[in-house]
Amino acid sequence: MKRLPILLAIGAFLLPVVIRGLWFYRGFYKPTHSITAPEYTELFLPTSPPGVKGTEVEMVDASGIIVLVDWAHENKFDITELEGFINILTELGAAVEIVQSPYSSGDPYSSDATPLDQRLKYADAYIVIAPSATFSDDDVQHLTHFVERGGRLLVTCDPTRVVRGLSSYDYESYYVYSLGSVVAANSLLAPFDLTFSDGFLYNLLENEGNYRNVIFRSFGEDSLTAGLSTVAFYGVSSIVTNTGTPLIIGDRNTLSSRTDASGEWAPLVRSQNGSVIALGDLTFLTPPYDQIADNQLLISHLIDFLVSGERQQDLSDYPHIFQQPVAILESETFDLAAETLQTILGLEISLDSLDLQLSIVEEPSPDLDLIAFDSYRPSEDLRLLLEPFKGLVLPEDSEDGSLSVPGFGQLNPAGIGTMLLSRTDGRTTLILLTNSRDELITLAEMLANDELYRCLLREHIALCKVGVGEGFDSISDLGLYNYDDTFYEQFPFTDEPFLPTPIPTVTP
Amino acid sequence: METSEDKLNSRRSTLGTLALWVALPLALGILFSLMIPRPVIGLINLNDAIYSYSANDLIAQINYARDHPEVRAIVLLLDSPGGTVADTEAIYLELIKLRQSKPVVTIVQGMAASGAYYLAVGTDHIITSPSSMVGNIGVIAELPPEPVIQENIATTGPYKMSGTPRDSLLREMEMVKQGFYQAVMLGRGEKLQIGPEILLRGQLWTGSEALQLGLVDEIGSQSEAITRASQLALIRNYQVSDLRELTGLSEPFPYYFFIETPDGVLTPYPKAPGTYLLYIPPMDRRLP
Repeated sequence: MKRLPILLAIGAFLLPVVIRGLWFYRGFYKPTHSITAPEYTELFLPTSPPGVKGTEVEMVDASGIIVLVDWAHENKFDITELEGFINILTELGAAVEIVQSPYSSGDPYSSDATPLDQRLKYADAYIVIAPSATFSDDDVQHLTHFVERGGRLLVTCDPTRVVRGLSSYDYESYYVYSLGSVVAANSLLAPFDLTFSDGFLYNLLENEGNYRNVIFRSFGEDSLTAGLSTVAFYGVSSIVTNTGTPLIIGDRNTLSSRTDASGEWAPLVRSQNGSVIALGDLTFLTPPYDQIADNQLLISHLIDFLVSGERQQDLSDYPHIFQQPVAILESETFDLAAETLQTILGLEISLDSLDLQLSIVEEPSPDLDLIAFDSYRPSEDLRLLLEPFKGLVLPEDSEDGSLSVPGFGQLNPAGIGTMLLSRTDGRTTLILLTNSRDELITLAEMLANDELYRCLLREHIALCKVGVGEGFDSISDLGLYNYDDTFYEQFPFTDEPFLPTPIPTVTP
Repeated sequence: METSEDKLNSRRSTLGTLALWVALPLALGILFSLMIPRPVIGLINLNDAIYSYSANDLIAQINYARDHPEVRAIVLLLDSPGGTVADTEAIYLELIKLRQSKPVVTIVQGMAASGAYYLAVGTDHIITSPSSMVGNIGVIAELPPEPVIQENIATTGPYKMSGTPRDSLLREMEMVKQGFYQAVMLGRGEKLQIGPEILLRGQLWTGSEALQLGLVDEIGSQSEAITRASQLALIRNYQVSDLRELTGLSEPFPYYFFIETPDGVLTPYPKAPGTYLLYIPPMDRRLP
């Protein structure tokens, strides 16, 4: 009987507790699954792929090779960054020269500011890195011609080398802009069907410490990729080509920032003619990145590429076509006289820039390079010198008095000067032929004044206009040196408004 | 024969007994039940970057929630571009600890970018408004300069001034990113509809996109977040309290972290160089 009151008491006590508890709570919280944080102690610092020792790489002898480094197009790199690369070149015997813009140093007479076309006359390879100023048509033409003659061209862009600036000085409207080197580089590479893509490549899944540092393991077969197994680039552009050969190719996880898509992107491409390389990274050439993976081996291959071109010189390379002291071979048409003295002096000055002496001889000497002047009725001595030029028929040897020049065909020699370059047994011979002494002087002055761009050039032969051709009444008809005053007198100046002449109608 | 007086006495005795065995325990029970607190859903607001001051505030509120049993669930209200790595990780670890005993629900009100999303994945449930910005998983840092020797500042090592070589910093960033990625995988797990090749691009998604990709759990509002927190905590008839007020913290002051222009405009750029879990939007206007 006593239990009931006790139960009542307990019930009475618990009732409000239970009611309040159930009013607020439906149960006790317990996590449905284990709650854990990342294993921070097990995170790892990404390490670089091991590198190949530079000493294992066989290098070629590059004595006498001249490599030019472009510094004339607001290039976004420091020469010291290329120190290692240049050191290898110089250790191999190559000479490296920096090409500055004639306007950049403020001293147009500085040796560094020699115009590009003059530099290319004696260069074997040309390196362009991260340019931000576009190449002029003239520059492109010079470099294209340089490549056509066996010169090697290496063009490198780097998406990390961008020009940053403000669009305006007006605080309210200016904004930061970035301009990469792609546009400038592409202005040079267009003739070779190589185009740098804007943006950069990246790989989020496998990389060299950062998504923008891309590891490449797929290579095209080429001397530039021989022995490569892994290459790491640090901020890299890709190159598009239809006719060139991609030499390094990204895997399917290598994406372009332009599309965020994969597409076998190629950061190293060789042009169809084999003499131009487009490369999408500069950083891997610099320490310490040059020691990562097989980068050093790739650098060695690039150096091999630069120094192993077979540079062929032609007339446009004057005066660098000569390697030893030069003699002028006198002839009846061209001898040392008052009229020719100035011309000879001009030639001497042009050769002086190469420290080559000029002398006048009556007979060729094997120790001297030769410049021979004569008319289209040459002496027997000169005829011997013309023997290497098969297909050359002088006017006096043809029935109709025409001149036949290999590569140019048959033409009227009137007013035309011919330059012929040959190299035999290490001796260079340059022959200048015209109709007259005056024309020879004109032709020689064009040579001395480096005006061969006014001539038609076919490697070792040039045709230049040095006088008046048949069919012209006077030199004024050429419209080159003079103009005819009467042309203006004849022009019907009038205050009357100009009305177009109606098209005549034809009546059947 | 029982008299009416006896009956009265007996009734009095019964009532006395009843008072003794029922009313008194009931009164005691009522008094005792008052000791059962009304459950509280604590609101923790982060509408600032994550840096030392804001992190200390958040950690103080998380500790309060953990130490006070009446706080049965927490709703984390995020509108933040993220912030420093160390402070983000510190808050994240406190959230993980708190979740052992109390559920935490996140509501994204504007932005949960980078470090803020790091915090979100450390909670039990993520709700976002349709156009809030979510994601930006990754690390950002300004690389230190190359070591130089200064005439009048002597150091005992080349990296004493910069702290780390440039290349090392890149690799350290990668390690921080790995931790972030692991936190996302732990928090979202099988809910994620995208792989690391997309997740780690650093992209910001709208709330709707984030839901499709599995970065968040649902589209909703703050009240839905509170309801969800109450469901997880198994509570009802709760009250909602701002833990900042309960903790007695002063109002936040965001000017500690961001660069301020001379005319008082707050830029999205942090004052101090360093490594951040931070979203920095592109700016078209900069200081001269």
